[in-house]
Amino acid sequence: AIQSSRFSCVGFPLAYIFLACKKKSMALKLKSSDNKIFEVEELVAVQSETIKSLVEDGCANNVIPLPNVDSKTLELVLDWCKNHVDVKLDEEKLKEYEDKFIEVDLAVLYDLLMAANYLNIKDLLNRASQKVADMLKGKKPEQIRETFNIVNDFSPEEEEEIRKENLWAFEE
Amino acid sequence: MSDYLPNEVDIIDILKRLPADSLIRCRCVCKSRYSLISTPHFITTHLNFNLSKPKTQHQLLFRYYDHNLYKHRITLHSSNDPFPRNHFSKYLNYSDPAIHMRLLCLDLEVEDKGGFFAYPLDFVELDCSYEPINGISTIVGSSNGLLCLTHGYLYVLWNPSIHKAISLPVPDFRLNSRRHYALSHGFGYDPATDVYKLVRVVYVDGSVPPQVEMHTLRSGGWRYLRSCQCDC
Repeated sequence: AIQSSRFSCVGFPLAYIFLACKKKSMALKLKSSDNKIFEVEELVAVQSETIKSLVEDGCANNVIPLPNVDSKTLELVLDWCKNHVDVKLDEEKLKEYEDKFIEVDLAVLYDLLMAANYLNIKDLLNRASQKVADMLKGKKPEQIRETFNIVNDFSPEEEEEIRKENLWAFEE
Repeated sequence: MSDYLPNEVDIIDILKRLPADSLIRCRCVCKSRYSLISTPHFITTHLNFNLSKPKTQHQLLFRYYDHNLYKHRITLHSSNDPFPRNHFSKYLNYSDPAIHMRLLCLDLEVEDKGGFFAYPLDFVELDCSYEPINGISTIVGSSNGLLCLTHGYLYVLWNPSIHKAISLPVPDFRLNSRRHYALSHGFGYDPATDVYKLVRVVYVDGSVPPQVEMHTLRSGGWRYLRSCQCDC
């Protein structure tokens, strides 16, 4: 009651600021491709540049549909965002969190990559791309094909030629 | 969900993070990767990404003649601390006051245990046993990991990360061995035009101006530069 009486006596401008502040901490509703609703704080959600521009354009009042992200992936992505809201978080702890977060199957990693790309979350896209790169590092061509399900479409002659040219790459 | 890399994912964004040796292995995987990794666009993207990394560590390149194996060896050392075990005693040689050359002197004890290569964990040795770098040992310069070596008229460009070297065309201006000459050369990268350049300056019998020739990797040949009269 004291609060409201204080606002009522200073009049319109302050009340307007009060409303604006209140709007800042508003919760957004996101809908995954499998129709699950996620209620998240705006500060968390706007780490996605895609959602941020929707909010700025005033298109975030109702449920925001995200037809390209399933609920399993969205849950992971939102967890990432929650842990990156507080910029003052201890750098070491954040790195520890990120390392643990990204330790997932290749299929989940691909889903995260696509979601980060669609939602435009730069740091997540960076981290996931780096993880795929780390999985490629030091592997021989045969191992890369096996891990990433890539079909070898060189003819035997072409392959022989490439192998001869880069002999060291095929050795231990 | 699929094990295949989805189309929406920017493959270049992933591959640009790989070191050169891993890229060569990736290139051998299938046709589309081969052509993607070979494009000038990808090569420039890869270079710029790596140059923009804040922690890119500079390294020192050493050339050393191994008297036991009768061959040149080239090694990379950390620029902060090239010889962490202090097995080299360092002193300045003032015998020629004009040069003030810093010499590295090996401790006798280390010499017994294998000399320069006593501690293999302290450096990375580059394999230089393949053609056309085999036997060519004078380092002209390095840029973006690319090395330029020379021996007489021969100039070689060498990318140690991908184990590849190419001979450059022989310069136009060649010398009769009976004449006295002084030779100087430099190698560098021009980011504005994305071109690697090699400049060769020859003073014949002490004459000024010198003969100046430049080779650019794009053009494939050498061309004479109009000599500038400089006092330096």
